[in-house]
Amino acid sequence: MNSPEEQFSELQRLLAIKRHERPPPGHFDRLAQQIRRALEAETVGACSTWWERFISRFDMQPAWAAALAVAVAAVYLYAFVVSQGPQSQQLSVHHPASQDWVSATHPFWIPSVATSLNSGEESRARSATPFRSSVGPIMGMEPVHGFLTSPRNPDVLPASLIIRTP
Amino acid sequence: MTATLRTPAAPATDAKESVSDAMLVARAKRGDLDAYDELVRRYQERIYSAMYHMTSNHEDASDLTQESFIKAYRALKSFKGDSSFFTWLYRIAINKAINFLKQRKHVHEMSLDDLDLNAEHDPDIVALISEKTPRRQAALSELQVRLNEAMQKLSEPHRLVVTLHDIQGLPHEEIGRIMNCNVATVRTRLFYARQQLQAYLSDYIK
Repeated sequence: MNSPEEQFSELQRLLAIKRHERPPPGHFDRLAQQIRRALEAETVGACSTWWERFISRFDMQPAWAAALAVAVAAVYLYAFVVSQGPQSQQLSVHHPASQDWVSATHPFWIPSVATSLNSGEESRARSATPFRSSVGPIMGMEPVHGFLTSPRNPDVLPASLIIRTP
Repeated sequence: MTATLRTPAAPATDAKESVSDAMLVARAKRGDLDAYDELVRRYQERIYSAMYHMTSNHEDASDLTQESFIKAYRALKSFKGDSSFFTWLYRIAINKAINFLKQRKHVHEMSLDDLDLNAEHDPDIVALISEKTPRRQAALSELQVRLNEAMQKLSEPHRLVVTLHDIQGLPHEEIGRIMNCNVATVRTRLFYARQQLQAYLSDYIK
């Protein structure tokens, strides 16, 4: 039988085995990540508004902020390129005529000089079609004629309101 | 090749580390998760080791380590710096472990990690088991089970002092601060805990 000191020394050697008990490789990396994720979720959950949650997400992952910036820049660039294309110019040429046609069908419409000159024949032909209101029966009612109001058909305006050009 | 778990040798006296800890804690208090992540990486092995030797269960030790760090982060605002961050964190973890063990009580399942391959070449361990049997690995595993069973038979305060002092190498003063008791109590608990362990492991101690 050994002395108490020797027995204690034996016990210490036995307990040294416990220092070799360790988790699988990579365990501590995963553990640190889990703790980080849990704290991030807690921080995000603590934010009151959706905007704060949105911004805090970018703080955690700057790559998201960069990706959003690139996406917004791409959308702007695409919009610019489309606006400079030939199709958009064609649309802008057609727009005034169509606008005039829409205006001509409006009960309170007053013809402009340009309209009466350029599309007189066209508007006469369109006005022959019956008026169809898309906004309900009130807009389909005949307006009360006043100083600045006119009948729906510009061709039957009073002679004093028709602008004649030489 | 893997290394053994680091054991903290007098962590509170390491001035450089404690200054750095204080800076990291100050940043973490302002919500800097990177700073707290650094603290986690610095101390997670030691906390895990303490939890593991208290529970003898890998999954429980992982859960308790995670919960301890999360609880410490939540309570960081209340940390005044009266003790080192290490001591304060250990206290939180130890309280968590003791509460967990009280709830677990008689439902106990050991989940022992594999011994590091280095253990087979540790001269102390080789000397211990070579005389017992030529089947070294089997003997090692058996010894590991016996050791953990013996540890689990100790009361929680006794198991804690053995874990912190004989396995993790913390000084008595530091253990006293962690357990909130004086050094004499630590020494007394350690004495009785060793006596019980020697009795439980008498087959291995001449």
